[in-house]
Amino acid sequence: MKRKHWGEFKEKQDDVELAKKLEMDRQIIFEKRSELKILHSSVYFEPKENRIQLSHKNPAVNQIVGLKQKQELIQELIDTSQNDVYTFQQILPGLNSTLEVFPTKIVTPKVNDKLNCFISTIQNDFTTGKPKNIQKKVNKKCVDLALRKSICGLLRITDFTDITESALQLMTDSVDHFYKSLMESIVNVLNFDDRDTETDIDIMTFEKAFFNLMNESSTVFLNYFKNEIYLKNQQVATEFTEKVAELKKVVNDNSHQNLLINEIQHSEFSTNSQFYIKEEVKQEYDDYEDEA
Amino acid sequence: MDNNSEQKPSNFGIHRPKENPNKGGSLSEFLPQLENYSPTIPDAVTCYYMNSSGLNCADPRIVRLISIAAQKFISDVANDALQHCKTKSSANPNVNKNQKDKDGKNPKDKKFTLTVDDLAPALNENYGIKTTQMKYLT
Repeated sequence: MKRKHWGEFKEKQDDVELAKKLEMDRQIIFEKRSELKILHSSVYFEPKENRIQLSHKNPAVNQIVGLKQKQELIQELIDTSQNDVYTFQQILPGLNSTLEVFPTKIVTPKVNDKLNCFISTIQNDFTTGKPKNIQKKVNKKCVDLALRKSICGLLRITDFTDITESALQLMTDSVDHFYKSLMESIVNVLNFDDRDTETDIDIMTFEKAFFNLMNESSTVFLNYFKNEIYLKNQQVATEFTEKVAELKKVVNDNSHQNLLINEIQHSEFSTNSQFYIKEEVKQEYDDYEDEA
Repeated sequence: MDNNSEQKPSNFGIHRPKENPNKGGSLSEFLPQLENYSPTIPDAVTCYYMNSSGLNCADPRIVRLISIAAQKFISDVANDALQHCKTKSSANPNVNKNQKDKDGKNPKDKKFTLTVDDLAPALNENYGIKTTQMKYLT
């Protein structure tokens, strides 16, 4: 029987294996630690109770982004019908049912074509400018994430489909710079008007500050919304309905062709059953008959 | 005398020339209707910048105006960058590989990717935001 002494030196082979194992463990621990660091640094590690949900609530922008995504999908289906007929035939039965879900006409947010002076405004807290406390206080990380999302949505409106990470970071930084410049401009206007101690901003202060910064009046916002958001929304909606109609036409044509093929195959099958038997199968069948 | 009668009386700059109707409505009329024009940038983000500059964000109309201003800034920059991207791709068709011109598809279905190369000149020309590449130490 081999004796085991306490504290004796182990054999060389064991040492090598142990060292290997230790090295592997160290590597795993290092990887796990780095993953944990990333998790800790991200906002998503926040517990659910502390998370803040910000809504990007422009219905027109949301609708444009949604419609463009669906439009791309429809375009891909149309392309598949032209390029890969076999795959399209396979997804055809599912498409028939999904096409019924698409609406024939899409309702877009309306634009006021009338002059503003003819529209009577309803008196409420917003129109009277009643002070409102915004409960959600956010930190810089949250602000950056919200800005990134808004930027992506607005880029989608201006016909961009993708953005590189570096460009998105640059865009976020430039919006941050714009905000800070605007705030600085507002503070300068307040200082110039000898209202250094005031923190409330009125409309004229904003107008002056915006004009100083951008060299244009803030009255252009109305036309911006009309021309670049709502009209674009209507254009995208009409394009989408056209694409849906095109896809419906393609599906109808293909299903009609399918029916014709089935009829032909059925008639041929009923008249001559051997037509469908492959050569190999036929050979096996003949061998089996011979053995029997 | 005839010449004098034809001349319009000087108004000492009191009467301003009429505004171009296409340029936009007056701000006081636009302000109450801002409720219908909600920006994509959340109000909380604008409030963050206002608070960090020591300004009060109690008036929801001002908060909304600032949000819309930021949104317009993003849209303008994106439009300028798109023009750059289109110009570059028309000059050199191999630059943007996502384009589907080779497949003979509709030019409307072109795909554009926003890169720093397109964004940097758009920011530099109109807004004076200069971007320079990091100088590597050798």
